[in-house]
Parts: sequence; C-alpha cells; structure tokens
Amino acid sequence: MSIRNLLFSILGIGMLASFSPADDGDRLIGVWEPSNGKARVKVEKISGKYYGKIVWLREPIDPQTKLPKVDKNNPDVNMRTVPLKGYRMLKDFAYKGSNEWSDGTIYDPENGSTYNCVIKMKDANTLDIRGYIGIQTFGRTDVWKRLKVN
Amino acid sequence: MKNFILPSLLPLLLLASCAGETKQLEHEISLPLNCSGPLFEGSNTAAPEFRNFMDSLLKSKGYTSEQLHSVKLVSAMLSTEDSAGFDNSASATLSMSTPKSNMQEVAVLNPLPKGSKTITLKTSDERELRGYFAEPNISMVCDVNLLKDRDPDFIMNGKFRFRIFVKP
Repeated sequence: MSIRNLLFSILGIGMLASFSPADDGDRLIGVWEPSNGKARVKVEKISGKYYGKIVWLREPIDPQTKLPKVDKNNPDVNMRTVPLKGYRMLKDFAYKGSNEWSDGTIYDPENGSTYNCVIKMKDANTLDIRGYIGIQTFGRTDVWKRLKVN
Repeated sequence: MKNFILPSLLPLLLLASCAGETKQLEHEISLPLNCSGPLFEGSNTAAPEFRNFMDSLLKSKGYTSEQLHSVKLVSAMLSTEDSAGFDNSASATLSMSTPKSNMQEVAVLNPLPKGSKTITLKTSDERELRGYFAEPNISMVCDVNLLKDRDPDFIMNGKFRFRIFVKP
C-alpha cells in the first residue's frame, strides 16, 4: 500500500468515527409517540436521570367529566387530580451504555399500575419500551417512534 | 406451665410495642422556583435542589439520624409576584427526587383558584419521604401547567413544611 493510499484510509476511518453516533444517554431526549398513538411523551433530564412527560393526548378531555383528563386511577387518593397532560409516565431512567436505559419505571394511567421498565434504542428514531413485573421475561414491549425524525 | 407463661408474656409484649411511640418535629424550607422563559402552553418545570437539613436538625434537637422513623410533607405553598398571579396556570404538581431515589408526586392543586398570588397544594398523606433524606441533595420538582405561551420567566417561591417522626 502506498503512503497516499494509507493516508486516505486513515482519513476515511477518522471521518467514519466522527459521524458515528456518540454513546451518550442524552440521545433519549426528545418527543416520542407510543404505538397506539394516544399520547406523545417528551423525555427530559433532571438531576442526571431521564423522565418522560405526557405533552399531548389524542383525547385530552374525559368524556365523563368533560374536563381535562386527570390521573383518576392513582392508588393515592390525594393524587387523583394530577393532570394527565404533563404527567411523568417514565421515571428515573439511567443510561447504562449500549443504547440501553434502565432502573426506571413506566406508569399506565389507564389502570394506575407502575411497572419496571427498560428502554432500548433500536435506531435514532425507534425505541423498544419493555414494561415488566419482577423479571424482564414476563413483560410487554411497545415500539415508540421519535416525533421529529432525525 | 405453657398455659401460664403465654398469657403472662402478652401484656409485656404490648408494653414493648407501646414504648416505641414516636416524637414529632416540624421543619419548613423556602425555595425559589424559576421556570425559565420562553415558556409554552402546557407543563413547565422548575427543579431546584436543596441541601439535606435532616442531620443538623436532628442533632440540634438531641437525636441521631438512626432515630429517624418517618418524614411526611404536610404543607406546600407556592407564591408569585407575577402581575397575573396564577391566573395563566391551570394546575401545579410537586414531586421529589434524588439521584438514588425514585421520583414521586407529593402534592398537587388542580384547578388553581383565579385571582391568587399564593396557592396551597394538597399534599399526599401516603408518601413516605424518609428515603430522600439519606442523600445530601434533594430535588423539588415543580410542574406548572400554563394555559398560554409566555416569554418572561415565571418566578415563584415555595414554602414546604415537613413533619418528622423520630424514635425515642
């Protein structure tokens, strides 16, 4: 291999490295939509952990009360007036490397249950969100899409 | 003999459990809460940290941290000097978190009364907050649901009163 070819090869590898995505937890930050399309969830970082807040609901008004939906299934009676729009349904995720965020929980406002959860980023615009009880084997995975595609 | 010993021990066991009655302390903190503009309609967050006061408080009252039994938030008050008060806000929710503990909601008010510059949130009776006070810094996360966009910061002040139960 000539010196010129070697230099081009090194330059090429350097450029590839600079365009590959950084192994950084902040890639989770953004607005995501679950597969059912009922809500949009904005992921933000607070004190080093990641949280997902409902910022849009397809049906924001409760058909029974005719008022904006609240967390009416919360096990804590005093917290049942917390508005669903703005509710943090993803909580306390830590980035563990290899496109995985864990140690967090996901809350299902439709039944008031909280599940352990692990998030895997399949590509820059797709997440596998797996909620489970106890061990990951017994759980359900939903695919979330980034709202503004990168 | 067995029939005699068991009934004799019962009152002693009851006495022992009653001797564990806890003492109560209260402590209030004041925190600036600033939602930095521009702000958009919907939920906006202020998340200041405060320094854990528990060890020095317990020490000043003659207790040790091992005697800490339980901590509850009993009062949460928000005030603002904003000209519109809370009139452009639909609701306010307060949560607590630390790097090692999970975030949980501890108080809420929804809807907010019109014409108010001070609001008192409804606190959770169930939330046990002792775990947060095992860490040096605690985040108080305040989410205010705004009814419309605004450019300037929304500056509030929070007063939070904790009831602390200590074992004798």
